Amino acid sequence: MTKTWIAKEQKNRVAVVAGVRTPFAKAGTKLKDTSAVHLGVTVARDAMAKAEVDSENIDEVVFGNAGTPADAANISRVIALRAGIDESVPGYTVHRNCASAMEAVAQGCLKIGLGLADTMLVGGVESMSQMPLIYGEQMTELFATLSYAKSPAEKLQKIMTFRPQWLKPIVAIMEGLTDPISGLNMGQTAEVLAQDFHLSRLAQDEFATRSHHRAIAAQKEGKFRDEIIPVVLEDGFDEVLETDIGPRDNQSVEALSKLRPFFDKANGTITAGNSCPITDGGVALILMNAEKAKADGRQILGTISSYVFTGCEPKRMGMGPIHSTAKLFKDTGLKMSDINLVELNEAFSAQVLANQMAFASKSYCAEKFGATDALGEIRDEILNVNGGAVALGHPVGATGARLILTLLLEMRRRNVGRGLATLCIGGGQGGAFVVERE
Amino acid sequence: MEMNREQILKDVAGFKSLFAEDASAIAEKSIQLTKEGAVGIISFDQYQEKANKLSFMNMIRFVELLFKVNEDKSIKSLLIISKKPTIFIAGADIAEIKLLTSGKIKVESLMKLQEVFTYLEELPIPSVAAIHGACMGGGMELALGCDYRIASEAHETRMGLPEVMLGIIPGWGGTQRMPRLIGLEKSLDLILTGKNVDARKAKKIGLVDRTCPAALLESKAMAFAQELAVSGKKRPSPHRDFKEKLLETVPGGQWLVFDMARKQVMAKTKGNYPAPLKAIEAIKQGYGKSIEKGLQIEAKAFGELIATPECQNLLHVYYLNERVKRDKGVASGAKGKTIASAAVIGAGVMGGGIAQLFAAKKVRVRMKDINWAAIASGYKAAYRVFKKGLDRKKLKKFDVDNAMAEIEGTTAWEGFSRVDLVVEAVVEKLDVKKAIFKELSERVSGATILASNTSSLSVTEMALVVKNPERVGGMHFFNPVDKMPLVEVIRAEKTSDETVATIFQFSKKMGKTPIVVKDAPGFVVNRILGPYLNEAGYLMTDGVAPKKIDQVLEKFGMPMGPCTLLDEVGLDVGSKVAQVLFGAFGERMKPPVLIDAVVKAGRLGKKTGKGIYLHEGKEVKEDAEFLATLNIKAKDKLPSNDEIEKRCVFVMINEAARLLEEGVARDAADIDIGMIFGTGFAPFRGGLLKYADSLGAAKVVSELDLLARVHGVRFQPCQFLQTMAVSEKKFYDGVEIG
Repeated sequence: MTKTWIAKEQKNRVAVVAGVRTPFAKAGTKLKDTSAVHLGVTVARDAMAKAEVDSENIDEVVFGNAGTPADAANISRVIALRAGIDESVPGYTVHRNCASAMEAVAQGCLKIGLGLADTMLVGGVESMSQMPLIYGEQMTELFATLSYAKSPAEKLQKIMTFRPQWLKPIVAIMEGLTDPISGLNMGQTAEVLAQDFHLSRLAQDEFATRSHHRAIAAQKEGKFRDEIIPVVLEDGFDEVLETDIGPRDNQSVEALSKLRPFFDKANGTITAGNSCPITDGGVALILMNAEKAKADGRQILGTISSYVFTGCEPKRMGMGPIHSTAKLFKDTGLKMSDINLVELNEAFSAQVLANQMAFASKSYCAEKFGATDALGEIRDEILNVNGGAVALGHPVGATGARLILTLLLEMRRRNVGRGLATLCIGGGQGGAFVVERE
Repeated sequence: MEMNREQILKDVAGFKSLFAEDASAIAEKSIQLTKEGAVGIISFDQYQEKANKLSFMNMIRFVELLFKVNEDKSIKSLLIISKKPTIFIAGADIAEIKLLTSGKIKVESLMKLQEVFTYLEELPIPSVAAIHGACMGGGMELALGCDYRIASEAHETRMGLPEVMLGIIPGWGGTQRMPRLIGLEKSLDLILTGKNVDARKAKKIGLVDRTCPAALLESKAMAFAQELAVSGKKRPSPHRDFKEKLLETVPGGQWLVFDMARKQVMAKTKGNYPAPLKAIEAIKQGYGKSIEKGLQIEAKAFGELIATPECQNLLHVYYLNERVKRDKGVASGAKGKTIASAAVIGAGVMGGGIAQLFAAKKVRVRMKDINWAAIASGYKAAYRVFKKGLDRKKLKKFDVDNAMAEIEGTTAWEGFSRVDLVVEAVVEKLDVKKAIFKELSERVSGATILASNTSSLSVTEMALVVKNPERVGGMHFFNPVDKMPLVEVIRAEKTSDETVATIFQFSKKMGKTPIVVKDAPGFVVNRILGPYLNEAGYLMTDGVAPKKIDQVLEKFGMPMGPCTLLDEVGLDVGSKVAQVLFGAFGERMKPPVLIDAVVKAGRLGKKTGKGIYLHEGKEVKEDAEFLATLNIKAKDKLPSNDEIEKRCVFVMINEAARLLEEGVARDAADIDIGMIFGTGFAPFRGGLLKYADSLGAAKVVSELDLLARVHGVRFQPCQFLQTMAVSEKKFYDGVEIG
């Protein structure tokens, strides 16, 4: 298992100078005709503007992206060039499922920490609306043989083998959200946790309702204005999306209770209402060598203090946060009491509740980590205080960077020193980042 | 062949004495003959210049090399190629056309050079032109004289015969050889419009035989020439498709083609431009006849055109354009700064248009407005322009995606510290603009150039609130930004030369045609248009129908009449400018009450569907009912067409003279550039002041005096004009343009 990246051990500290995200929109709604590239370009350009950094001063570009668009295989490169970054600046795309954007930030930490780069543009983009339908194997095979066919007669012969059912498409997004090791869909892994921790449907619906209410409150207070750049829709450029679509002001537990379980219709508790929706969105951050930022006289949002990624049981991928945080605490000596604010991604209400219980559970921590004590309670008052993915949505490749951005901005508002951003990762991993302000 | 040679030698002998002694040495350095195996290669590489051109001396040098090729029996094929990176041969040397218009060289002599390409065509060995880059006019005619053409697929490769744009027609066989090669319809399309085609299109229409990537042109052309050296095959008979065959052979078919072409030309030019009509005649008379006969017909038509004032005036416009290319905008040596990124404040029609322009030229542009609905409308305005390019297949989707990504919307001042130029394009209110300039002055770096796109407000006033006012100037675009070439670069009281040079240079980089104007109400174009539009209102007051006024001025050569123009611009906008001018210049700029009445009736022009005219979809109709409600005191005797024209045009000349009197415009050339590229003023008249010069100041003054007697002070000739009349001076005296 890799060790925790710890700022103190690096040559350079890494500052988050500025960051921005698009509004998040439930897939198939406002951003459905806007490409992931356009989302990326919008945030990339505005992040550079916010940081007052010239495009020629960017040393490398790394974006996270989980559902690679067919027309932008290395989407970071496309975003970089279209955002006006010089051709000589390299760029690559990283994929760690739900933590892809967090991995992009990690790449920035590695390179700046080692002194390989001074300024990096990192982030994540996802258009889950534009994930394709794929032809099945037989149809693909037919297309291939047709293109090899030497004569019209041969072509006709091949065509005759065609059967209409071959046209049934494979929905890429459904395939992507299914873990091939356990065979479970992400929602089904959340059902496992709900069973493990005896989480009631009501508790989950209450959590989801709170997420909406908190997001609405933050929206009304204008908090998200600090992190959102509106997107002019790429289809015709005649409409703007200015705010997140997900949060619902009138969300009630009663309304949620009427929904049918989505993944396990008979005995399940996970519904579309207490899970995060599939979502479109993009996030960008400007990372910089902290000493350089200081020398330039820049205001920064904070520095990255430590991070780690760890693996866990694919079937219980939702427990990723506690696994990665435990490792991070062990390697850094930090304790839950040192943390002032937490962003723990809300893939499913059940999964957040399960983590909260496990963090506070001596027996869980003893069993899993051989610890003598619980990792420490995550109080409701410091957890996802502006709502989370259940309300805002979870654009898979972008969320990791949003957690860090949202966390840093709220830390600034509260004027607190240390925050934790952590999330679960499909396939059974967890990621945890600790950020600090002076 | 031998006789031909003797004749040519005799014909060109007289030319050499006209040019400097080193001219023939330069021609020798510029065009070389080499040999590679059985292939003779004539390469063009104009000595110490960027472009290859067919000057007289180059033509003589070229034909002398052709003689050598013909003598050398070991040469079995000829390859003609350019060594310039982006130009094959740009055409004849236009500077030398002046020798023709001034009579220094007789047109007949120039026409004798037709024989050069005939000699090329009649060489016993096959020839091939390898075309990469501009292949225009004389260069195209040279290529047409070859048996074969191979062109590079690079975007720099453009082929055409643009002569009609200069008021002439191709004179070295273009009107004869092109129709013979590619047929009547296609060649008429190219010759009458002067447009050019790329290699792909050229291959499609049969103008070139082969195409290849630019990097392979030399080797592919060489291989082609080697093939020809072996086969010895001269020009094959040209290909015609079924429809072409039908049109060209069926009785009346040709007549139909020419008749259609003529009608199209007439609709477009209203008969004001003789060149395309002459081209049709030359093609019609020469087609199907021997090439010798055809060339004689072409030569005659060319000679007749050169003598026309239209040709002289269009050449004048060409030189005006060339002057802009050389112009730096300042007399001092001050250098303009490079603009890598820009910002536009205000995302309205103008702001969006300016953002589109910058984005199209790959300049990053932050577009700021107070809310996102406004920003979206700016994006939409920009996208609409790109979309047109997409629909017309001039742009690909990725071009549009790349360009649109250059536009960054924002409601905040973030990112402004990195911007090299800010163009303010908010509502025309001085206090709003001043507030923005004050804010800008805090937000941008001390070196950022600040420009206002105001059309009539004082830039000097705006600069008062800025910390370093020397970096504030005007950058006045015209609507629609993507179509209108003119930019008035405004020099305010404290504007530095560096600022003027920067805006001037950047305007050119954006593909625009700039002139430098001192900060004065209305600058150049609106100041001249003001009294012109007023006059249209006065004519209406006198009972002249708007359609009549428009017809007269369109016949004069304006792209649209003043009443249509008012409807296009918007009567509210026009009236606002008129008020500014009235406030600044008093009685002579007094707007007619009638225009006010139209505005008060809520008829603001095309945008509201009703203005002076009724606009129903694309249809424009006179609204007799509405006109009847206006307080029109129709005179017993309505003004004649002549009077209508004089009143509208002379009032402009008078105002233009004032601009020179006050030093607002640098010279007559700038005013004419402004009027042609800002209003579409009749290019065949060479510009407003070129037209005035053709009349003479005395005539202008006497006409104005007459008009002043009837209509009052607004026609009073200004002192400047009166002095000119007395001393028989011309507006263009002492103006250097070419």
